[in-house]
This record gives sequence, structure tokens and C-alpha cells, in this order.
Amino acid sequence: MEGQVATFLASALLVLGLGTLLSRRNLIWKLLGLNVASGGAALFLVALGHRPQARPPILGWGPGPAADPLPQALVLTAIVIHFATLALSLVYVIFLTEHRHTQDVPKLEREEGG
Amino acid sequence: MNIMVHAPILAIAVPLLGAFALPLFAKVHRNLRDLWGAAVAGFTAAMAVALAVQAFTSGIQVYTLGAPSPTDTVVAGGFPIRIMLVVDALSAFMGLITTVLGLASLVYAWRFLREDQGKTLALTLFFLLWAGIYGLEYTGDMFNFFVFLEITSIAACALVGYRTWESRPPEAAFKTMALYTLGGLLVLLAVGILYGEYGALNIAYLSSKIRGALVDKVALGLLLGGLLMKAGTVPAHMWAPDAYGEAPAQAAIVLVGNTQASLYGLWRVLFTLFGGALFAPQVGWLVVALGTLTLLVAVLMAVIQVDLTRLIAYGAVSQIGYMLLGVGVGLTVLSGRPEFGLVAIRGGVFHMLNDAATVGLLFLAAGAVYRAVGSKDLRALGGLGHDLKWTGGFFLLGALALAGVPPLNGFASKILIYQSSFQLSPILAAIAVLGSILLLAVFVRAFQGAFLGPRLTKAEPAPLSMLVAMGALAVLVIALGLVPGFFLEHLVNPAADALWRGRDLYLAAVLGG
Repeated sequence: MEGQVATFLASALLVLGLGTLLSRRNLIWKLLGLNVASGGAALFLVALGHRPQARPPILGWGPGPAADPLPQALVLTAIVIHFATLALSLVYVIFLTEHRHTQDVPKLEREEGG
Repeated sequence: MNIMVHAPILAIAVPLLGAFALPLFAKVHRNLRDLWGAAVAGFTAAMAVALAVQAFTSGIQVYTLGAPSPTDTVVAGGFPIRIMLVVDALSAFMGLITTVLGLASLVYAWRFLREDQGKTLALTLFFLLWAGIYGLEYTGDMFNFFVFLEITSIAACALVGYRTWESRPPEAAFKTMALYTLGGLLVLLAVGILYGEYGALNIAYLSSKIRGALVDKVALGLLLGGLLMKAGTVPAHMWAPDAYGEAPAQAAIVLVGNTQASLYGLWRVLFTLFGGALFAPQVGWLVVALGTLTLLVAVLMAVIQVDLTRLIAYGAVSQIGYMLLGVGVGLTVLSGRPEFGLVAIRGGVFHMLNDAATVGLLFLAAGAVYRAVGSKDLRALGGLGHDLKWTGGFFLLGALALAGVPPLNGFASKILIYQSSFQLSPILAAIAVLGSILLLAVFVRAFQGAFLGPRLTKAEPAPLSMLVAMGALAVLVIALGLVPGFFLEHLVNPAADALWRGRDLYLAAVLGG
């Protein structure tokens, strides 16, 4: 049950994030969308480790099923990577704002043409 | 300790360490930094070449991280739990391309980059990108593949936006970063789906389990989307001209290697992970269609470019189309295995090596022009041939090779692609030939505009290190064109065979038996 809820939430976050990325015209909004989508992907990976009635995967916590620990390890890596890409993209937004004084994609493209 | 056993991991770990130690050495002294960079690059190249020799002579090299012995691939029950590096002939071939491009870039950068414009940081990013590309090519683990994909993305985008004091590079870098991140996200989701379904991340193990269920198709679609996005194929090609156009020349040629590594990932996914024949005709036709579309759109866009590096960038994108066309034709006919399928894959794989040399040479020549006169606008350039004699010659050589004029190297691989795609459908071959003719026209015009005519400004000739890097690639262009048989026999054919019928060997090398 929790696994399905988490998977559903993850898909919702992905759709929301990618929708924002495509529809918004502002660079910061686009990055926010991308970040929400990355969050969705991370949640999706964590949800994969779900087992019915499972405990946290810690040694010595008694018998019974335990959640799969590997996706959690993967997600830590993925979160760090997404943090790095977000930080780097934000740096470029700062430089763009300094040079062009706008974060609006249509405006940036118009200036380029003219 | 036998160092050669550890060559696969050393080729990745040494440049990674080299990257992060470089700024520390630069704090002490510039010469120490240069010495360190040369030592790291030399060692990495030696490892990659030695590894290639091993892979070509004695078969697939497997390296298991954290195992008692690097060859202990599976635990009891035949299940691979550790991260693995698997180097077959194709990986080794790609490693050689990466080595050539990396060394050329480094030699060129020595005099091309200026100290007051952050030379140390550019070199650091270069080594990081280099390590990531080797990682992509050598890894045998899907999540590891994603991690290296993102390492290359971050390092590549940082290099694209390296000239932050100008207004266009940050924009190009942002665009590239957004598309790379999106592509990486798709790959991550596919990795998650495959892990959820089969409980493993090892490519060979996954390949032995995949039977073509619906989830497999979803994962394949996501991987295709993500990797094609990163390779810069139409319709996700918008970032490529910006990125190639704005990156400093020494970084642009490593970006070519990065793009090719994404293509290699695509081949690996299609032929090894998904067993080639599983979805072959439909996916093969998709790859062929995208390849044809890419080369056509890129060539037509190249016609209207007025910026020298953007023009070369579209040329580079069009060459990606030829590679997709060649290997796609091979994939389409994989189940029947007619002779021309193997020829097509050979053409596609050979074209990767030729593209690295040719496009690399063009980008380096354009970088020399930019350094000499501070502009890359074709409307403002002219008469540079008077001062930049060598650079002009190299540019002309690269342009002719790119357009596939015999006896240069572009012709040697394109003829294989023309022949084999003609047997699949004459229309494909016609489009491919048409693309080459248009490229010739576009690049001859660019050469004429930039290098011929009366002298407009006094240009300072390129320094020796830049000429050496360009000369090395030019020698490669000529050598590949004059004796293609030698390179085909010793490098390309084994690599193409690894795609054509090497999947069983790959699986056996990792899973045993």
C-alpha cells in the first residue's frame, strides 16, 4: 500500500516537474520544475525498495522482511548529483542576469535575433 | 602487484585524482601544475592504450571492484553483486578515441588557454570530463553508467560556460545543462525500472533476464530518449550548436568525445542490454530515421550559419546522423544477419574514429582563428590565409575530410555507410550522399570566406603547441584515409563484431559459462 502511494506520488511529482519545465518561461521556474522532477525520480527509486510489512534495513532488528537498502544508497548519489547540476545551472542564471538583465526565455531569444 | 590487471580502474581513477589535485599543485607553482598534468595524462593514456591492446588480443577484460580478485565477478549462485568494469573491443576502441582527443586537447590547451582566464580551472574540468568519458565507456553497471553520465554532463557544461565574461556562453551552458539533466533523469528512471523488475544493475545480468515485457519496453524508450538527447540528435539537437559554438576550442573537441560516449552507451543498450534482436527491426528503423533526419536537418542548418564555430557544430551534429544511420542499418537487419548489416556497423563505428579526428581538427583550427583575431563571425573574417598558413591548410583538410572527399578518412567510412544503407533502401543512401555534397559546399564557402581574399587584419600565427595538436589530428586524418584497411582490420572490425555478435561473449565474460 505505502509502496503504491509512494510510486503514485513520485509519478505526480515527475509530471508536475516536467510540466513546469516545459510550460514556464522563466529560467528559475524551469530549474524549479527540473528539481521537482528529480525529486520525483528519487522518490520513485526509494519506493522500489519497499516490501510489505518491512522494517528499516538495519542489522539486528529482529526477524521478518526488511526494506531493500540498495535503492536508498543509489538515491543518496542521485540527490548529490542533482544538487550539483542545480547549483551549476543557478550559477549560469546569475551570469545571464548580469549580462542580459532578464530571466525570461522569449526575451532572451528575441535579443539574440536582434 | 601487476599493474596491468588494474588498468580499467586506473584509467578512470587517475584522471579523477589528477583533476582535483591540479589546483593544489597550481597553488605551489605553475610549472609543477603542468608537470602534474602531463604525468597524469601520460599515465592515463598509457593505461587506456595498454587496456585496448589487451582487449584486442586476449578478449574481454573484466574488473570487479571490491572483490578479493578483480576477476571474481559473481558470488555463489551466479549473481553479480559488485560494481564491474567490462572492457570489450568496442569499449577499448572508444577508449582509444577518447585518448586521442584528450591528448590533442591538452597539448592544444597548453598555449591556447591564458593564465588570467582561469587556465588551472579549465584544465581541472578537462581532467574531470576525461575521467567521466572513460568511465562511461568502461563501466558494466547501469547505475554507474548514470553516475558517469552526470559527471560528464557537469564537467562539460562547466566548460561550455567557461567564458562567463561573455554573454552567450552562460546561455549555451544553461541550455545544455537543462537538456543533459533531463536526459540523465530519463536514464535514471530507466535504471530504477530495470532494478525494480530484475533486482540487479549489472548490464550482463540484466541482459540475460530481459525478455521483452512491457516494463522492458518502457525502460528502453526512456534510455533511448535520454541518450539520444545527450548525443544531440534531432529533435533534441538545439543545445549542440550552442554548446560546441561557445565552448573554448580545446573543450569542444572533448565534447565531441563526450557525445560519442553517449552514442556508445546507446549501442551498448541496444545491442548488449536489450540483446539486439529483441526489438531490432522497429527500433532499428527508428534509429535509421532519426539518423537520416539528423544529418539532413544539421546540414541544412549549416548552410545558413554565419558563425564559424556554429557552422562546424552543425557539421559535427550531421556526422552523428551518419553514425546513427550506419549502426541503425545494422540493427535493423540484425535478426537475419546479412553481410551488409556488418558492413553498415563497421561503417558507423569507423565513422566515430574519423569524426573524432576530422571534427576535432576543424574545431582546433577555428579556435586558432578566434585566438588570432578575436572573432568567429564569417562576415567579418577574411584573408586569414596570408598569416595563418598552417591553420588554413588544416581547416581545408578537415573540411574536405568531413565532406567525404576521397582519399581522406571521411570517405573511407562513408562509402561503407552508403553501400550498406543502399541495400536497405536507396533513398537513405541518396540522402546521405546529398548531405555530404551540401557539407562540401558549405565548408568550402566557409574556407573561402575566412582564409582567402585580401588581408583584412594582421593575425598572429598559432603557437607551436596548437600547431602540434592540429598536426597530429591532420596526420591521423590522412593516415586513416590512405590506409583504411589497416585500421579496419585491427581496430574497427573487432569493435563492430562486438556489436554484431559479441553479446554472448560479453555475458559469458561476466556471468561465467
